[in-house]
Amino acid sequence: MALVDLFVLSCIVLGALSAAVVAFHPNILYAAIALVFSLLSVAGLYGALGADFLAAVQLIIYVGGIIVVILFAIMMSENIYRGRFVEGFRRFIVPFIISMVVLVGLVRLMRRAGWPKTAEIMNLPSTGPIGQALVGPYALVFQYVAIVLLSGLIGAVVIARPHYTETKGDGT
Amino acid sequence: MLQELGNALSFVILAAILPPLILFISKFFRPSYPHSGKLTTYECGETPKGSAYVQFNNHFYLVAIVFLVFDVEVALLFPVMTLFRDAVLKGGPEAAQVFLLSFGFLFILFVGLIYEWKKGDIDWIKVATNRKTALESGELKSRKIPAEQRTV
Amino acid sequence: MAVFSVLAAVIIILLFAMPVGGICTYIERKVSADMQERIGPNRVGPLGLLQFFADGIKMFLKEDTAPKNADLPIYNLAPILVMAGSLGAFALIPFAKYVIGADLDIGVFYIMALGSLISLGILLGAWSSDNKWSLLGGMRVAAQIISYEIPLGIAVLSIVLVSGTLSMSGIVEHQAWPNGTAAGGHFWNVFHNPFLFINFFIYFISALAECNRTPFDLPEAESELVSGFNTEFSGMRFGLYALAEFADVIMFSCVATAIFLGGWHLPFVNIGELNIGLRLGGHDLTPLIQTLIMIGVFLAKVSVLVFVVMWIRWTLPRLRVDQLMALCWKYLIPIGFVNLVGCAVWFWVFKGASMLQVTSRLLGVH
Repeated sequence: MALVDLFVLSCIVLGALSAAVVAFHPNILYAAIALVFSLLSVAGLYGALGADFLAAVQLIIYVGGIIVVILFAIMMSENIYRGRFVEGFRRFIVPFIISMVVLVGLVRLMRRAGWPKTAEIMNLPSTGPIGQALVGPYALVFQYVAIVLLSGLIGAVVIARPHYTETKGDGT
Repeated sequence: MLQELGNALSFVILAAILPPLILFISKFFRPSYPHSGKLTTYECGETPKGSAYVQFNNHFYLVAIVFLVFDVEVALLFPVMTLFRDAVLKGGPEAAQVFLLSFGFLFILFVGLIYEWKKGDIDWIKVATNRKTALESGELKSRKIPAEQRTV
Repeated sequence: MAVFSVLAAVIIILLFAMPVGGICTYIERKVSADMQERIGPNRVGPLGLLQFFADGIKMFLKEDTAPKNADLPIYNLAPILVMAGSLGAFALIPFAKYVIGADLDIGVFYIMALGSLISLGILLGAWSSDNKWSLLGGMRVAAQIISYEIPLGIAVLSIVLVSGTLSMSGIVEHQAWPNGTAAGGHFWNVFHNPFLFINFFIYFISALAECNRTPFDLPEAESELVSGFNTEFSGMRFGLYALAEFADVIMFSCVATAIFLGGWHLPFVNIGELNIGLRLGGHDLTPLIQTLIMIGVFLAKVSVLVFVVMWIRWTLPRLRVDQLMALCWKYLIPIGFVNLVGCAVWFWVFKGASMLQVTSRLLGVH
């Protein structure tokens, strides 16, 4: 078995195991850390497909950004990591149903998609064509993405703003 | 390209294996006398009071959210910036196209930063949004030293 | 081929990054002693040179105490993430023309990606030690590191604009002395245009903040917060964090040298064309000597930057946390954006010529 195949297989196994931990583990902090590993395995899969830029973007934005936001939210909520919302075997029911539905949908989608041959294009650099696409055919989408990001920024900030009374909040 | 990615990955894997390896090897050499005093958390020598939970300033979360948006922006600008040099050296309208599109993107998010600044969201300790009325009402003390007390 | 990559990894990490990180602790103690008019370590070995070795052995032999309520899986995971982030980036540093661990197409971008792993590692380490002071320190570190990734990214963006490529060796190639290369090189990137000159300082300040060095070392402030986020890490675990911090400093200095200060290029000489007529047993030694000179030049520039980092530590006072955040969001990011636009305008107007070439064209010499 070629080394690449071994790598892809290990990424898949790691991703599946950590996704299972994310879905089923009662401790929410462990679930967040397992999410780190599943995102790392997705980045590994991108790299194995030759999309090196996307793998790095996955690391920067997902692992470096979104996981940090999730961890901040968990650490700032009181006792959320000790709370158990559902006890016993009942906590497996809903995640299991949702994951089975998503799995069936994805398998059907994958059967219907026409997978192009990637051996030739795998070794081409990926940053240049992405840039060409962003200023070429997708230029308007590029500006629209900026507006979506701006609205997301302002919306999130308005929601997360601390509400002060007359005294200023203590700067910790 | 896969060869290079494999090289980079082997560096990361080696660096990730090092801490457990070092700690495992040192397990054979180091003493281990667990004692309840050593196992309690350290609070400058006092016995620890309360749980390890502190009420945090909301600002940490705000900074994380603003960082996320700007991180996405920087990551999206990278592939566009690689085109700029070739576009300029080749001449023609392509350089203008790249320039205007990328800096339009940048400007839209820069407007967001200015909004945050004016509303006081990126201050660590939030000062009043209107500085003048806050100075007048006494909520915010002006730091200007009056002329007669200045020594410098 | 896999064997070769693992061998390269072992050589660069185990024989360069870690020993140099250890020696840096010794050099820092000597340099700081010199600046404070005292002597520093001088007992262990000649001039105290074996001090870092003795420190390493001491930490190796110390007992490993974790707090009773610490989250052990996360407590063990945190140093792994920090080391993977710091040492993994050494793969992409161009020491000489063909001496680079992995010449990825996405060079600088990959280094930025590994920097995000470091912030995650420190945050998890601070959380898992069941100590409210280290949690506070850890949250501050995470906020500081993620904030300063943005000016870092903007400074690197301006370099990418001028070089047209993300790969590290490509960026260094573009900084060759004009009279030699087909790449149409100009001088070092830092002297290319005034906006890049300012961006070099923005990069340097952001790198200082990323590595938690003074004046940004509030998270590990020795006078507050006990020892900040690494209070409950003792012995070898603390040694791993300290090593990762120095490896971080060295890595950011190497990246700054490669992208701003011209990498392995000397100012007025094209090393690739030096004619050294040494032969040994029928083999031409010229490429080897040229490579060694290139590595030497690169390491000299890196050591100057590391010395400046240590110098700053004992010169400037520590910034308060709100001053730190204000510096990032209100000063570095707007200035960085303005410089990015300025770089693009300069490049467009002068068709890619550097300051040197523009002035020489104006004066009519070439």
